[in-house]
Amino acid sequence: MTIRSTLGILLSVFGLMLLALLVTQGAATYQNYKDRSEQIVIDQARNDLLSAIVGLQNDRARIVLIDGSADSALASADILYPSVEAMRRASETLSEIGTDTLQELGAAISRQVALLSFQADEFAAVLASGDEDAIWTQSFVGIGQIDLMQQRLLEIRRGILLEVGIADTTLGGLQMLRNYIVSVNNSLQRNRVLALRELEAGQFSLPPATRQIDENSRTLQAADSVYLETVRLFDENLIELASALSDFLTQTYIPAETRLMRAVEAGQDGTPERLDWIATGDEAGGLIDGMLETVFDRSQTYLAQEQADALNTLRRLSILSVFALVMFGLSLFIIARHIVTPLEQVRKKMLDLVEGDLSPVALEKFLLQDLRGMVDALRVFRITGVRRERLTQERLSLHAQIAEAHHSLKADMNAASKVQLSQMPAPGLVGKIRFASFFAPSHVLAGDTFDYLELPDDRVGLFQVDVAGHGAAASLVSVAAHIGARRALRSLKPGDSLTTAVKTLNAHWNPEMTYFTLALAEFDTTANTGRLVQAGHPHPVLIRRDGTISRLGDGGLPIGVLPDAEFEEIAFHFEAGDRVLVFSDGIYENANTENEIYSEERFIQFLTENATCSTEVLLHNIREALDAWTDGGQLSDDVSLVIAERV
Amino acid sequence: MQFSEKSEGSLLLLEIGETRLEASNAPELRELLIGRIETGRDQIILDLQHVTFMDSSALGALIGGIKKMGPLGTLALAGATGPVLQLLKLTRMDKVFALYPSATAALTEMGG
Repeated sequence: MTIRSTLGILLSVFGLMLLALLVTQGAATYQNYKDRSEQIVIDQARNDLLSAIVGLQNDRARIVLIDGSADSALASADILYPSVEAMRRASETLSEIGTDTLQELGAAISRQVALLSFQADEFAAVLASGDEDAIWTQSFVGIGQIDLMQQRLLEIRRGILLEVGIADTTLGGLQMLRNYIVSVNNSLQRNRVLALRELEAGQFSLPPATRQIDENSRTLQAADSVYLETVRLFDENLIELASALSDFLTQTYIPAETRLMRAVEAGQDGTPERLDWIATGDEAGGLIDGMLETVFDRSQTYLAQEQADALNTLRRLSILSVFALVMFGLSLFIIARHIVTPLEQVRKKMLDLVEGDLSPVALEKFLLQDLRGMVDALRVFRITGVRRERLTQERLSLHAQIAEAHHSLKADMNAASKVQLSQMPAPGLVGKIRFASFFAPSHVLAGDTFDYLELPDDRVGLFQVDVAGHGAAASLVSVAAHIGARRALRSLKPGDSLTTAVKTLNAHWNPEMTYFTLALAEFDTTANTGRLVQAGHPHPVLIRRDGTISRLGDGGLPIGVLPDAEFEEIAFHFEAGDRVLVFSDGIYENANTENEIYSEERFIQFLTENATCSTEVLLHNIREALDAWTDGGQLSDDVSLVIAERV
Repeated sequence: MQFSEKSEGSLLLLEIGETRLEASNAPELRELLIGRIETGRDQIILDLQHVTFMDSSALGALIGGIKKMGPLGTLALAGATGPVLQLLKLTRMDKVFALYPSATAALTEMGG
């Protein structure tokens, strides 16, 4: 999971959520605005419907009066037509907008329009004819139709209310007020009809009629208090409006009506009361019309305000949405430009560094401090890398030089080793002495050396040198020792002191040079004798012809330790078949893999066991014993051994 | 190279902790001896009781030490046994060094 993909996913989720929020919020706000717009139109339709209902109520009363022809002023030619027009407007409005239900309701109104229109035409026709019977019949049928229609329209009005609901308390209050007006108008018109009929008959002959009027009055009063309270509950501001009608009804109209009925009951003429009652009834009708208009104005104004508010909210939300989207886009740009891209570049450069690309870190100066820190770190890595690379190169070059030097040194050593080996005498007969030898340097060059040479007067000389230490330095010293020892032997006249020769050699040895041990011997093959000086060198071994073994010498200081050292000469018989073994301490001081040295005792024991072997076999066995002890590994000290056999 | 040292008056006792004195540690032995001698110690006892083997290089280091020492100085070897003692005898080192059977003996003799 990379930073890029993680940020991508997070930002996508965030962006989608933001978008969803804006869309939801926007849709809700837009819907609110649309609803408000629709409510304005529906309110108009409802108002038209209400006008139609009130108109029908009024027309009903007029039709009753036409029937009685008591007060022709109440009747007029345009009876029912205003209601038809109001209903048509409502129907058209509902059919044009809204849901299926509203359209159905619109269609229902439309059917009532057709019916009422027919009725209106019929009335207009019979009124024009002046035929009283026809008028009476038409009135009788018409009232039933109007009652039914009024019922039907109230149902439709309820249907609309159910469909659109009441949006808030203000609208609820207005709705209540309208219901109140309709109810008041209904009671008012019905009382008017009842009272006029009774007046036409000349008296309130039928008690039920009086009771009906009283009942209608009580309904008015009851409705009055109930509606007032309800309206108050919904909207305080409407109470004044509602009270105006209520006050008029309770204080003016109902007392006038009561006075009229009491006068008629008392058998009085009652004309002043009747005129007064009709006048207040007309006034109430006007008040109701005015109120309906005011309520409609209020609801339209209120809805228009609501619509404007919704539009404002929609505008604000749109601006906010655009701003939020722009900010989101800007965030995306900043994250991509100043975080993700730099990180990618740093990552790529880092991988390049790991791959060994040490070219300079050519990244721009990033905006964010952390990233600048990373780039600085990369630069440090690179410099470290460059330094390491240089060191590696230097090391490799040094290594190559060392390898070359080592190679050259090894070649030199090998060449020197060849020179050293060529200096060693070949085995074989010298005078009457047969020499055999075994020489093994622990390193390429040895500090051990030996030589044997024929001397005048049947004499044979032998020496062996072991320079302290081993390797190149010891081998160079051994060359000097070799020359010195050989010169000492060469200048040795018959009967000359061996110790004097060795003392001279010791005295002339450069004290700056390493000391060495020396065994120097001279054999006289005429006298069958040998003599020997042992200077720090291991005691030589004398093996007699019969295999008996003895050690020669009592030791002595090595050469180069004390310039005035004294030495001893050891004389011994040396007859045909006798053998002398001269060796450096390396023959018994090499260690095995457990770091244990072979030891002088073990070596002498070995020689004792092999004393009767021929020189060749003895030499072979010594070689094998040494190999077995060191397990064929590196020698820790040079090994040299010379066997001199008197033939 | 393992060693411990102890001063007894003008005497310096150096006890060698190694079992083998050979080419590999001979230069250190030489440096040790030369170093002590250069600081003015001229009565040195080298306790070799733990040493079981000594080769010519190590002997060379001892000889280097005695050569550095002035005519009045003493380098004593104490506690040499086995091959070490054999080597010292073979090379007649009793003529060069004072040899003692043990460090205690050396301290007694030299201190007295």
